[in-house]
Amino acid sequence: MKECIVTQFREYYNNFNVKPGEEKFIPYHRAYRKLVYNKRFFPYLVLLIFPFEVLILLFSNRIILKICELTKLTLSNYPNALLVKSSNFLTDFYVLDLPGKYPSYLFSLVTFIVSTIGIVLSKFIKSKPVKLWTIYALLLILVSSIFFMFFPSKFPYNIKTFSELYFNTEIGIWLFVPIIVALSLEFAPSHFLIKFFIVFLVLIYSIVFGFFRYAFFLYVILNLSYLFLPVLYFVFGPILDFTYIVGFFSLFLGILSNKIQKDKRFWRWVY
Amino acid sequence: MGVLILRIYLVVLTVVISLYAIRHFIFSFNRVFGEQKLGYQDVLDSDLPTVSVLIPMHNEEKVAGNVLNALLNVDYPHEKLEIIPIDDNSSDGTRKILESYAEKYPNLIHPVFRDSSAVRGKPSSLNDAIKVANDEIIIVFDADYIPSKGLVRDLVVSFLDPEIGAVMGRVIPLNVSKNFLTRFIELERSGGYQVDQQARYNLGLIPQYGGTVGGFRRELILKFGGFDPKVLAEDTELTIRTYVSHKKVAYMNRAECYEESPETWDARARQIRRWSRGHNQVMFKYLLPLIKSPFLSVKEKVDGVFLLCIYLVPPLILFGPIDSIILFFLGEIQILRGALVFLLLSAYTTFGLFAPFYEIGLGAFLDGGTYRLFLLPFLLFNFFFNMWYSSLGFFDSILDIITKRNPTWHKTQRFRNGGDLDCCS
Amino acid sequence: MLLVVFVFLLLVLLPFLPGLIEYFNPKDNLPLDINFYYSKNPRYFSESFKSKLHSKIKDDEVQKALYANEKVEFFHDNVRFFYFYDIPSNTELNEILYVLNDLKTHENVILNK
Repeated sequence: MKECIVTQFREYYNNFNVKPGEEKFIPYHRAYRKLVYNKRFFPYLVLLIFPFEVLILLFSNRIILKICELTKLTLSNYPNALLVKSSNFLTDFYVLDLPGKYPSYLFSLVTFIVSTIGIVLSKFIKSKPVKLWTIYALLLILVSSIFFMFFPSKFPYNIKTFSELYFNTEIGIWLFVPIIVALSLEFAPSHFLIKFFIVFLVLIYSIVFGFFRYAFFLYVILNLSYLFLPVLYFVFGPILDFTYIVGFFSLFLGILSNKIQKDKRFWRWVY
Repeated sequence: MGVLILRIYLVVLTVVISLYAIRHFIFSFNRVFGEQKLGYQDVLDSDLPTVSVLIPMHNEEKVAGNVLNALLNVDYPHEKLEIIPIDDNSSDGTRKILESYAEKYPNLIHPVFRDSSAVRGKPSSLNDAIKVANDEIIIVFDADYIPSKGLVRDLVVSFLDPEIGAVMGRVIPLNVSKNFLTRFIELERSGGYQVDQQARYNLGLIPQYGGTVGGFRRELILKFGGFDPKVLAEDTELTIRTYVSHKKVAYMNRAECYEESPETWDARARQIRRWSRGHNQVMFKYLLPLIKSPFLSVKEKVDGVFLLCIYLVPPLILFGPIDSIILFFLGEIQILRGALVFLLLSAYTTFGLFAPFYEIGLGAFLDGGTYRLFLLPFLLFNFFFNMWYSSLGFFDSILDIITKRNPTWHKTQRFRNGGDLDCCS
Repeated sequence: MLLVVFVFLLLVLLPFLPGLIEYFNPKDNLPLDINFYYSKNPRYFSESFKSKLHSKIKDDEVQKALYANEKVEFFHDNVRFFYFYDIPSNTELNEILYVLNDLKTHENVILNK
């Protein structure tokens, strides 16, 4: 009789299977699960942002100087590149100055025709997002070519003024990057030092990226002309910085998610 | 003077986008760390209201059988349940399928057949069905949805709270693995439902009724004379109508249902454009009534304004780069630094369909997503896509007001082969 | 200089690399799991608990507990097994009880587990 009851006890619940190793974790349903709140969320947020902001404010001019010096090295074909002083409300900094290349009327006309054809042909691009980005870039080139065809003397930039714009933008990006990265990372259930390191990494990436982008921009301007300046700034400019910001964030969160999905220490239910 | 206007525009736009950015940060913080407001699904009550489940259909022979099979298997008491598939002048085998089900289940399935003389479209279809439905609560599913056994009960039980006028469940894309687009949509949905909707519900704001996997009180819609057939976003309209009628929308994060996401960029573009057009129609119609309503708290009104204006932001943002480019050619270097802030903020806030990248990431994280998070950077490509088609929708809505034209409903393309998903027969 | 251009393009494309790997070699591309047969069951928690108990505790341990009125360890708690149990008034219990048949309680009985 007793054995029968115990057998019934065992048989009745045969349908409920618990995988080995998961007995200790009650899987909270995704609907109402949440993460453990760290009371140091906001202090840590400040600690993730503040040191980097101070560093940028103190050393941005030196970083820019280094970038300009390295860029000058890559411009070995342009020995008359000079470092000239500029300033903004934050700091003085040096930028490169050298004669840029203005497009001829013919070049502008050809570019106008090619970009127009490009816009028309872009309708054959299947992926709409890629199509729209392509049209956006080609429209910028089109507008720029029209500008240089009719108002070449009114173009407000030379390499010096463009460099000022570029580095003012870069300083803004370097100040902005720790804020965005910290705001996004601070939600993640990870050690403060790891997040600090990632913010640091992203900032380094941003600075290195800023250097190579500047050198790339000058390469295009010096070889192809100022006509491509608008498309460089508005397509390859600040908006592109989001790729690596989101890239670091998604890589970190994806790896972290893999590690902690079944770790009870990080999850709460409703409260 | 012109330059001053351009500068002011950029400043104002930056402020608007900053406000949305703050809003999304609050939502993310609340969803990840705050106390979660449970839905009503844990209420067990045998005294349930009567329910009519409406399924608008137009040429849905591929999917009709699946949704009907699933609904026949729900655990809602059959004596309190009525299933009303609405055949909106289909030219394929939809009608035959519905007739065969009606013959087999005469007490449960009562199709409504609309011919070519009827005004086409989802709002009109629902209006016709609501007239013949006798039950207190109306639940709506799109034809390609597959409700689980307990879903109808989970949704309907919310109406035991007399304060609830409408309920919304969570939509989960089924065809995730199809291509890049479906994977993006899945990520955006995670951010939108898991974080945004749930946070709005937690905070006592305005979660949106989404038009499917949701329901409403029949008396509520009849009070307004039914759905407005000229409004493409009948779901947004119902949301606002619910709140100005002193009722609330309950968001049931646990009440999940599979949907089929668009698999082509054309279909997605049409979808976004329609959402934007409809949403802006509702904004023009209800912005002032919402603000003036005596039944909403201040925070509900503030959130309601943010909600209604969300599809107004894309055309504003779209003019932002144009503004910046003009300033660029004018050599306005100083303000271009501000343009940078605007560009960064707008990219930050609009990575998905109006969600910052980390909100989407956190949504996927809470859902248990791992490697899918690596796809987040690709959402940058959607930036112009979302802006462009949302803006087109906005201009469509402006034209609707000026010309007083009636919208033409287009069939949503179905991608699933009928019979692939036989979960519940 | 061309190296600079190459490195710049590499830095632009690098953030997309993990996503491309995931897309072409997907490891996490299934839809979120929905249980089609999930239905509100008032006995869900008791059945779920019983199944955990069943998987953790062996038959002979249960037999022994029933005969010898011993406790069986279940994670960090103790479980007592009974055929029938009639809990007298004013009793407070801090153990998990598993009663195979009827459980009867009187006034002011507190079950903390």
